[in-house]
Amino acid sequence: MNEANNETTNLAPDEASEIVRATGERARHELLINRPLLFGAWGLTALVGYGILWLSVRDQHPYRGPSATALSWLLVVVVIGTFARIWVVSRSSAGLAGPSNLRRSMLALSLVAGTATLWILDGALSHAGAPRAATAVLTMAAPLVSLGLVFCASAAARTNARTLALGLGLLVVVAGGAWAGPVGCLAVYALAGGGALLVAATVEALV
Amino acid sequence: MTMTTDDELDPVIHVPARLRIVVTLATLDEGDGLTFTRLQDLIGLTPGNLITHLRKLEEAGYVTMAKSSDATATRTSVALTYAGRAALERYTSTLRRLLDSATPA
Repeated sequence: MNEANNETTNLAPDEASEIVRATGERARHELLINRPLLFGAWGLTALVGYGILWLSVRDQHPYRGPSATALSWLLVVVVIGTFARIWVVSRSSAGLAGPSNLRRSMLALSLVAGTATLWILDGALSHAGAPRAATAVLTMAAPLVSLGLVFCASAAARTNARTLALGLGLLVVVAGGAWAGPVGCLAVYALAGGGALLVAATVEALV
Repeated sequence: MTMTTDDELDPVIHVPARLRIVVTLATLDEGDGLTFTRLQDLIGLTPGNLITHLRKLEEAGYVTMAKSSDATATRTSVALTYAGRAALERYTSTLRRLLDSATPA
């Protein structure tokens, strides 16, 4: 039957309520970013990425930096993690038109620009004579600092307390881990940083 | 805009296909829209049926349709208006009231 031409549909309130529930559930599944998957991808990237670097430098006295092999594996982890996150976001963005796409692009740009700026600052400190062990902490902290601030900004735009808690939590991890030095900070960032993101993924899946 | 009393379900929305359209668009952030093809994919209507329902919603001021084109194709995007979002809120609260009053104490 062509419903469009038949306006006398006898829709009972309970049927209408079921349509609202089922349609809303499907629309949320299809159109909203899967936050457990997104936070999970971030968490695994941090846990494995920082973990690889820590395994590479844990016995170094004095600190010399991660090996080329460890950096190669890190690159693989980062690329896989990036593709996973792009897949999660683009799946919900298909057919979407409006300011949300622009907001997501701005957040991604902020993340990249923030990390790049901290790495440039790191280079400037090295150039000015700062010891390698000190600048290494900033190099390693840069991605988590940017990620924490981007989560805080995103939380402010959406008044989302859970995302704000995650962003602030990452910043606390970064600040606290820095005191463990260039080797210890990697273990802290892997376990506490990656762990916080994985806990956030679990919380998002449960609420 | 269609006006309804407190106990009356908005007849513009109270049709299964239009209810699904409005609920789907209400999931998006304010100002966001969906392309016609993506909406069709989610609602599961033929293009002809979908456009008929969208025109009725547009006449009521509940959705806006905008066309944009690039070098290869023309795209129509559909977005819920502020009035459409408010109408859905009224509709769901009326629905809840009707269901509550029908439930035996």
